[in-house]
Amino acid sequence: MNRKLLNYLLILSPALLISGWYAFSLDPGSFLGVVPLAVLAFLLRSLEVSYFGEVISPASAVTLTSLFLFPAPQALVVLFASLLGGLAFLRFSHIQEDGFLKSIASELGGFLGALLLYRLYFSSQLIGISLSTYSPSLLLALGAVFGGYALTSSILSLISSFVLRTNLRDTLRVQLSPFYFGLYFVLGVSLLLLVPTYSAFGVLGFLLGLIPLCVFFFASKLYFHTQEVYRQSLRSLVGVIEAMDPYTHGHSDRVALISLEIGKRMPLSQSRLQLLEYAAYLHDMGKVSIDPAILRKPEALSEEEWKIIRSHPEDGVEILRNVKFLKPILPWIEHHHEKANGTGYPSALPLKKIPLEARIITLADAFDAMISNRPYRPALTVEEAKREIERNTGSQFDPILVKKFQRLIKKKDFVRTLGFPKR
Amino acid sequence: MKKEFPKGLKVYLALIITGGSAALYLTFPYWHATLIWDYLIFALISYFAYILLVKLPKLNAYLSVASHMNFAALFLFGPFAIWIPALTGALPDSLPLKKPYIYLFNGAQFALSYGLAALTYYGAGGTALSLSFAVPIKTILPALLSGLVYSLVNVGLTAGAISFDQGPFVKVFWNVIKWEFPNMLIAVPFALFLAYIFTQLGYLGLAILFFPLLASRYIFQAYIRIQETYSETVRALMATVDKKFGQPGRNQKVYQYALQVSQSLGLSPEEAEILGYASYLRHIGLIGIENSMLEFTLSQPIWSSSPIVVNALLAGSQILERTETLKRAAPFIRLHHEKWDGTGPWGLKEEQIPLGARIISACEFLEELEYRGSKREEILKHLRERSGKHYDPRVVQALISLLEKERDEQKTS
Repeated sequence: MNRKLLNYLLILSPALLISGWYAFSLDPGSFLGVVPLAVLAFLLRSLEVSYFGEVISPASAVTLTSLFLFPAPQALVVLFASLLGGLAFLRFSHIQEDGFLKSIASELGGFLGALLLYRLYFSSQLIGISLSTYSPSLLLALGAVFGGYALTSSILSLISSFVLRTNLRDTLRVQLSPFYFGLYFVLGVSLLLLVPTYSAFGVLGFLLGLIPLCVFFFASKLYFHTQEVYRQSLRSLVGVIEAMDPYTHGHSDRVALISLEIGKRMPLSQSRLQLLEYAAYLHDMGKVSIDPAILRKPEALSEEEWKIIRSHPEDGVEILRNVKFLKPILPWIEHHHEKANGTGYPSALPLKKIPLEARIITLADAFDAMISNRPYRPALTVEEAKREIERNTGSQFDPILVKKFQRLIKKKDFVRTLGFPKR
Repeated sequence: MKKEFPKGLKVYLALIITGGSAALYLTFPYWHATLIWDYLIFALISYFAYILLVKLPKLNAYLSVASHMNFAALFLFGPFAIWIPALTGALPDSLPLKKPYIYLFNGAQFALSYGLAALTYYGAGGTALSLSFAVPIKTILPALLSGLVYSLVNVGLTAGAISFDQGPFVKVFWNVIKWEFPNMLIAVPFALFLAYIFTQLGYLGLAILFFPLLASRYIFQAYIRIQETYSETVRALMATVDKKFGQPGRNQKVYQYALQVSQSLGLSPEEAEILGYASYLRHIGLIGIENSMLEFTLSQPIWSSSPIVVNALLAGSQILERTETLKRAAPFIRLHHEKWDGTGPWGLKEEQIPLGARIISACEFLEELEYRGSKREEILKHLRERSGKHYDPRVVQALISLLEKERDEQKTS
């Protein structure tokens, strides 16, 4: 979707809204009460967070509040303002356009789901919700309507993943992660107080009640952004290793990409996958301590030189030992040159004792090495490399992973993303 | 505070402590036996809020609901509520209770400022909300006034104590109050809101309201952890480079000098952070040099403009240019061998060279001299000689005064 079209839609939509009003001969005056909420919904879209493509914003709390306290057409205006806000703040956020389309679908779907449950619960009658009528049954009703919202918006997000040809399994994994649940949970809990607050104190009280929610979304946005910055920095810092050896240009990048794709086909959680990606970037870190002359040497290496090269997994662990957060990935780096038959280095572990993530990196590393040029041999084709891997299944590679890998390699898209023969 | 305790400060502390005690004594008659559990629970929440505060990254500010809870208690339970901050608010700062006078001063300071806030609120027509429910609109003005009084008194008292060893009172006072006022404009209405929610929903309401804030605290910590991981990773990488060159600890030294200079030149924390990364990573490009060449390279002065070194710097900065945050460190790395008079490898001179690069180059020179075991007088001589020729005079001046301060400290101890 291009930017011009977005701007065009942004300008056009108020006109559409006004003509819609007249077409359905609604009384514009009855909409005045909902204007503050609409403005808020628009503005709060700026605090939207994107968690691996799933988009959530505090504006939903405002939209849902309007659903409880105003008739459906008015609430729709608030929803519309929120969608418009999403469009307007798109350029300031780190959200991809696919993510924006997804967020439209899930917002709309969630709203309809909530509306449906709301009708079921309150049998189409507006009830006075205020702090003094607060009771367990009202809590339950608020919870149920929010549940309807969360469920339908998640389903719609899944459907749009399908339409946008991103992977359903990936979307589902993100949706099942504790973090995604946490975001929705905080939103839901805040709603319990926000709806009665609005009816008791009006907009000003509502604004005060929104403060904690906004702080939460601000923190989350900051956190996700920093995480992404860290990932990118790792990516380019390992460029240092690649600068030592021209033959390995882009190697870490591709190993990360392949490892992640294989990892996604294994029962790994979202946070585990993230660590796997870090480990794949860092797997050759230990090479920093090796003399670049050895890495660049076109002739066969002496026994002494091989010994030095073989020490790089342990050197990598030594380098990263003091980074607390990366503790879990150290064994993966240490054992990424182990073999399934127990003849690898440094520890000659049997297959069962090698960590899964290490086995994944081994496979990705070997595949990328095969399809790259080396001082002592030209690159293999993807087909040749695949056969080579199949030949070494069970001796070098984990058979289960090889099966996943074979299916992965069949996808034309995937081979293309690796960018071969040379970028 | 050091050993020599100014006499004026002693008198000041005694005065505040007496005043605080008087405030507590005067509010004691407003104690309601029926509210004892509420007093206790609010005190507990306020205490935990003081402990669980979150330092906001990059801003010199804290996020805590402690003062909101204290104000809410004041609006809800009457003037006796000032006992809550007086007893609990002072605790976290003073634990373990080695210096009881700090606890006493903090407690008295809270008692006085909340006491005067209570006087304002109830004097201007505010009512104790949990005892007699009032229309929200009527309590807003007294509440805002009391917030105003609180911040004036609180900042005034603290600034008074600080000004005994950190410069003029007005400056200290102004530096704090200019942030405190806008803060109060939101904090007091929020406290009032808290109080109303409490009158309607009790502790359930407070729990619902605070839940997102607790969750935010968790996220902020995760955020800080990632930031730490970031700098730990960079440091780990650099330690390796140092080790490879057989010179462990040298980067750390340059980093420390650069950070101190950036402080005395008044760089923002963000600029200092970038400068820190640059001083750590400045020789990362040398990693690609083969060991046989490396010995030759290292035998030369490190600030040389030999083509191998210049190319290595270029390679290093190109690597960093690919990252969002480290991108800004790249020019410092590429240009830190430039010379002030324009005789460096790229021929830039004076202000054309980025400040960060100028700082790093001078710090590097100083570290190199120290590494070679030069005496202090020699170092100072070398620095002065090259000031305005190779190095920015401002930076050299900062380094010299740094060294002199170091010497003075060594003499006294």
